[in-house]
Amino acid sequence: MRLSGLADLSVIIGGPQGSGIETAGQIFMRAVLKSGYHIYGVREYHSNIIGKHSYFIFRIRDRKARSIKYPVHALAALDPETLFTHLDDVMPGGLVIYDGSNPNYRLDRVVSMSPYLKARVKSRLAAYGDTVSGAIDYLRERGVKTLGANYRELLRRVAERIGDVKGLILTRYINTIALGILSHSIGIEFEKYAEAIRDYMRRKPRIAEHNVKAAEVAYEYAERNGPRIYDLRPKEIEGPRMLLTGNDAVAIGKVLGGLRVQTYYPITPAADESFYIEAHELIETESETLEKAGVLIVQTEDEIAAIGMAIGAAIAGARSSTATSGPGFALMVEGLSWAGIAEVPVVITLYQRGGPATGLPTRSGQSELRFALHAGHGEFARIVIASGDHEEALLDAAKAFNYAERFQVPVIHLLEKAIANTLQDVTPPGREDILIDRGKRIERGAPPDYKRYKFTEDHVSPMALPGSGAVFWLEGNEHDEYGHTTEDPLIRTRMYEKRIRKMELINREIPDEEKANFFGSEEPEIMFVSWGSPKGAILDAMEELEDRGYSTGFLQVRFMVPFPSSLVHNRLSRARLVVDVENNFEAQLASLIREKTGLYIKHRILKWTGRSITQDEVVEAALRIVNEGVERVVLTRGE
Amino acid sequence: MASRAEVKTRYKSDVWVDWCPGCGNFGILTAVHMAFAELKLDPSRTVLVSGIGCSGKIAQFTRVIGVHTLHGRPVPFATGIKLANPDLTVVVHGGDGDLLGIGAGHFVALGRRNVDITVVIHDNTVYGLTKGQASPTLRLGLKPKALPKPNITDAVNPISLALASGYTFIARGYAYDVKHLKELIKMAIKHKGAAVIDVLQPCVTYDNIHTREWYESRIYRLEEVEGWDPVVRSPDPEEEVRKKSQACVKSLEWGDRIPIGVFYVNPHVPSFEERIRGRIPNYYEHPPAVQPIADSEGRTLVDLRRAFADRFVI
Repeated sequence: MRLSGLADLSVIIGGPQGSGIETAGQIFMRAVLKSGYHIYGVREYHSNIIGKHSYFIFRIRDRKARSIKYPVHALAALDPETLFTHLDDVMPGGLVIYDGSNPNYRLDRVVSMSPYLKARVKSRLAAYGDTVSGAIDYLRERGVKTLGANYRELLRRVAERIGDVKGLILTRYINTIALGILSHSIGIEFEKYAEAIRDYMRRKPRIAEHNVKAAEVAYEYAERNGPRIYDLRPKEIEGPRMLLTGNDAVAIGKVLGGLRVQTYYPITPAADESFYIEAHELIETESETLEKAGVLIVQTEDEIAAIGMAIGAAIAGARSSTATSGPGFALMVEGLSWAGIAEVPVVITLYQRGGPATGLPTRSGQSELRFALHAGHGEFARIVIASGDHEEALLDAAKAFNYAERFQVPVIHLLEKAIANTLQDVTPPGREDILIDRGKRIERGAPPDYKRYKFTEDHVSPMALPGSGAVFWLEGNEHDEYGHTTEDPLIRTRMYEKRIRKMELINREIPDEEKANFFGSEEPEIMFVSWGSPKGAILDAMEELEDRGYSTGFLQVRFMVPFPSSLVHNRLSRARLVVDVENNFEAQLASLIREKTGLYIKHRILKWTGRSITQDEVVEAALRIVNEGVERVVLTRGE
Repeated sequence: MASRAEVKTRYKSDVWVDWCPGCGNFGILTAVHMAFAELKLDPSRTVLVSGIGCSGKIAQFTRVIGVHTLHGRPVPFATGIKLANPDLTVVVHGGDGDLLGIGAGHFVALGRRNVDITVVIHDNTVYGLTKGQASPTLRLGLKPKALPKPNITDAVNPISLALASGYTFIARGYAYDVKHLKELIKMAIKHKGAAVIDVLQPCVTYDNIHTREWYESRIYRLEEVEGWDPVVRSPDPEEEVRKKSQACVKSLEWGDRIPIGVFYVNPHVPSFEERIRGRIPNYYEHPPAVQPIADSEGRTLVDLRRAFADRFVI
């Protein structure tokens, strides 16, 4: 295994939901960052609180880590289910760390495992026996190293070292032990691991010290028994760096961008964003008059109220938004339509998950592009932005308010669970990176005879706030310039046109560089086109394909409305082979491209299992398309 | 002193009022305009938020900031406006369908929050603008003239629902008793917390049961009942139970005699805004709607490193 050159390492840690995988993962990621490497961590979990299998898959690199890749170098299994579930995920020469205290544990005893996966594992283990020891034989025969640490025995040592264990739930430390052994095996120094524990648990110093003791036991054990499979020697990393989930990135971007009212109804995977803001509702500012700014979070009775309240707050003059996923957005559609006709600047963050209905509530997907484009009865202007990674998500979340206020339209910010719950290290933006433009806003001294919907050259009317001196009417019915309802055909024609013609201004004012990103060769053999979270996997796959002698390019579409039609047309019409990559069945971006440019994209790489698209999947699928002439490749990797 | 006519018209917009002649809404409109005038509300700091249907049109007929929302949703819109700028006076007008049918969840939530908003229910037992279907306040078995069959669904009791939800000012008015209704509206607006007034309102076109004559032979004023005191005088849980219980009993009185007036007032429950101030101490001085968010060069005011220190690893 590599001991010099560029680091590129993948590991999995898995165990039952509710057993502390989240905390363990957070600590591990900090240890990696403090060792000087970049990290990317995808969190997979069931719609369950305690007991079902959940795991983190990490990618560690010298450079920005931005996708996951199978097979992995190491697996730390907290329970037999993890071992059985990830039987084929570890590469030859890699390492599996598992609980060696019960080798005869049978697959049938794993009640939380789906019968379908169980049947698949059973058939793989047919020649070995469907027990932990059978699984170990299976792995060894494939060249995988195994380390059966006796977790109970190690816990006993931890207890001895802590001394007074009254009231402690010792099994909580299994995470720290397993990850400690794993960290040792890939070359993370004990000091970095301990520092990460203390850093993450700084509010609970006593618990932190217990965990450091558990880490000591793990490192001592690994020093004597564990193989070293990788050498992540500590090095300097350029700081400052933040470790963020996609939810965090959006929350921070919003607050930097001036969010002051956020409404939400609890839903996965959106709620963590609002939770995080609520924990930071008093924000330190650089203002002399306002040392701490208050950001108001309101948990509403449903999503209908969430959009209604967000609209209300925007009417009053606050930068306001709501965050939800598909089922919640479905309830917001009528409100969205109202914001459209009444020209209210409101931002909706839409985290896509696996649909339809509750579909796969804790998994990812990209099946709501068409929904975001067309949600709402009637025709009105809107903006739809799709971010491809954490840094984009943060900046887009801030900019969304500028677009909303400048153009007085609802803005839908599309994300996915694959970004929301994935952790990535991010370079923090400076204050000069977050510029605020509030558009034609009248806070005070409104002119006499003020008209809320005044016809103007650019179709955007000055927006007076309550308290500005203006009296005005906001209407969901068709209205005249004052906002008075009217069914007059000529006013209707003109006001309707005003609302929709704003799109021309929006399209003109948002530059093409914002609307799409292009990466790679100008005239590539393989031109990928995609949006959202597959970005990282495609970029990493391109490097691998380039190494294998294929020239590649990648057009990442970021603005769905206004759509960069001529840019997309120019890029794709010249390309020899265009491959569309999406986390859905219908290839919704490909269909949108056809609608906007007339170009038909025949080749597609699609995945709707709810799991992230991986680097290896993109490489394999692209090679099948190039070498075997396959038109459509359906991906299924990841448990 | 402004003349009575002036008081009536100061808050009238230029829009022609297109309710049916004789509609109970006229009485409500006059009472609202008179209450606003007597409270000397600043039209640019007063927001009238309405739902959909005949009642919803009131926002257009009134010269304060008007927000004509969606069917059932005036309460969330109003809540967002009020919480973003607690300095504004916010009044909701909706029909019984708006507030007790399609928007009943929001009606309950407003009581639980006790936001300082006044809700006026235009309670006419039918859906007027869609030609007279049964509304949530039409009782089981009744058959106003537009219904093909007697009502198969029973009514909700707006007063007891408001009590159960946590409203801290609960009253009932009658659309044609304009002076009395005006006083109720003034009290409701002045009350610091969620206030609701259930206004009994004949629909002259579709409800041939609950006519003006029907109501006027039955209604009586609670304030004329000897010893009636709806106010929780001290922050005492026992008194609160007593006052809620008597209000609940009164709310069940319906038939030969129908009470109007104030059922329940509790000034001791902190409003949602006060609860927010407990978490954001400068909430009233710097409410979300009028906070500075950028410096003179347009840069964000937020200091990322200090505000989100917990996410910095290096």
